[in-house]
Amino acid sequence: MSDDLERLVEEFERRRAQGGTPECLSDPALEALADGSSPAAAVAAAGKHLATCLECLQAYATLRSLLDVASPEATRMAAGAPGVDRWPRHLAAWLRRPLSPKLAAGWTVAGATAAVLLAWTITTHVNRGTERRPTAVHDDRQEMERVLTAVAKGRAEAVGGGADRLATDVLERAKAKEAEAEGLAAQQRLAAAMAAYRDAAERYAEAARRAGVARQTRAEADQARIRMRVEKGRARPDTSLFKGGLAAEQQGDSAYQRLAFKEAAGHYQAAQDLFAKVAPPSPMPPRPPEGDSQNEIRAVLDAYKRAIETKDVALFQRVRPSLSDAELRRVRASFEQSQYQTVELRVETIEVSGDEARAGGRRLDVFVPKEGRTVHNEAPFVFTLERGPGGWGIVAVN
Amino acid sequence: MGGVVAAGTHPPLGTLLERCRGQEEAAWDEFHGWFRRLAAGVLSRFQNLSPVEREEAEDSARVAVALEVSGDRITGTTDGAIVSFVRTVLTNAARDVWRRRRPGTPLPPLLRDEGPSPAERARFQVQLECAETLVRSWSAENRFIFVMKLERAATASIKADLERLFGSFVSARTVDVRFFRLRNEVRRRCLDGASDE
Repeated sequence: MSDDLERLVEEFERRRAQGGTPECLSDPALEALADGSSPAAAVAAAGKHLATCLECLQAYATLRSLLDVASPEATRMAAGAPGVDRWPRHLAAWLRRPLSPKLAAGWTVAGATAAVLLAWTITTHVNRGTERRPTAVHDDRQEMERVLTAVAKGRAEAVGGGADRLATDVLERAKAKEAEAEGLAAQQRLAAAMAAYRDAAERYAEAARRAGVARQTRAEADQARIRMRVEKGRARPDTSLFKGGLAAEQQGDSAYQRLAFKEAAGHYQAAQDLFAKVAPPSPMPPRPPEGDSQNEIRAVLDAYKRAIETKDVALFQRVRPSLSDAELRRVRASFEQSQYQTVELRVETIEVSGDEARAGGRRLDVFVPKEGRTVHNEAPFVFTLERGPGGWGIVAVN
Repeated sequence: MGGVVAAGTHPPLGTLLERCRGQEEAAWDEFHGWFRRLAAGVLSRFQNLSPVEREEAEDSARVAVALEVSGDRITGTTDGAIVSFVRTVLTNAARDVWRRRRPGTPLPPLLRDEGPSPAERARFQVQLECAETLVRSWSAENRFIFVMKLERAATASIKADLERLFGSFVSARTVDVRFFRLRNEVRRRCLDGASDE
């Protein structure tokens, strides 16, 4: 039911996304209204509009709610400081929202638990209750409860961990065993049902474990593919080795599609090696001819890129001589957190004016952390440079 | 930040980000706590993503936002603009996760579901029209309370907004009671007749 009500506000959201009326409030206007930075006149006008426009009202409500959730008060409350109970209520509301179809399926186990436990209790009391001590019945019931909980937990972990894509066969076997257990329980063959549920729980656990391994190897394949593509971008395409690299890349893609991630990583590594053989040698920073500012600046940008890719703090400090100690510490920390990082600088303009210059273009950063997921970030850049006694240095990066 | 209800009691988000850029450890801790809460609020809307996928989207967005903060590339200066920016990053991250995990599968609206069947859509359309007509027949204040509460805005914020936007002074309890009644009215008249009463 609440789901239907939520669909109602989602409908308003869709309509606003499709374009409202000319009178509708802009996003910045709503943002300012929500955080209280609107001038009084704008507040009055916005109030009039919100009184009639459900689409803008919904957009405002979403933003206001997020500001509430992420407010420092909420942060302090979550940390255990005394205060009103706003965050717990938000959390509770969040948990009350409908589960995804996959998890909802997993939760059917909870319903089955109650049914099976009821059957178990009735059977043990009716058929054997007079022959067994109450504590034995209680122990059996506890054991069944434990096994069913393990099934539910195993299933949720397996599905939530991506076993439906990464460990399909094991997951299917687990589901089949669980269905068999449910059939046995329905026939009141409870000892056999318990054994089947135990098997199902073990298989779900195995599916979750395999999915975890597959996720790890997939991440390794992703990283290998990134490294390979970086090398490919540098390689000369008019060579036979380049064609060999392309073939290895295709084999990698094919293996990746089959979820054979380890094999894919091997192919990508082979492709990377081939591309590397036809890449032009990485230019060292030879001192460019005096007076050729453009070349000098390009050399500085190249050194900047190399400092990041080789995690060379000393080189980084040379190309960015104006860095404060705090900034340098941040750079060092960033280097330590990364497994590796690549930077591709596409320089589009270099404007020199005396001892000052600005270089602009687009940069593609690929940051592979030691822990966590790879980040790709493509953005425009403007470097401000100044010429000092030691040559050009970068003084600002925007 | 957090804005209107407690205006002036805490520094704005821009100050927090400035402290992060100054490499203040406590500021980064505060930022992560703030980000997690915002991410939970935003990503809970994407019901078609599994919990693991939502975490994946959160991780990806956190790194992206942290890089933007470190690089001083967030152009918004007000709390609303910053929250809006982070919300966009989170939404994009959620969509990226969907596309990565289900290549070739069309992106459903809000990643909520696969889309209702034609029969469900027809039923929903009737309910929607009824609910919208009903909501539009209410006073501006009641419409405001209803939509704000459905979006889970805090009662204190709704109360403050009613004063600020409509010049209407009501107690927090009144806000909650009124929403309860309005919600039941929609359910009774337009949905399946169920109510909390």
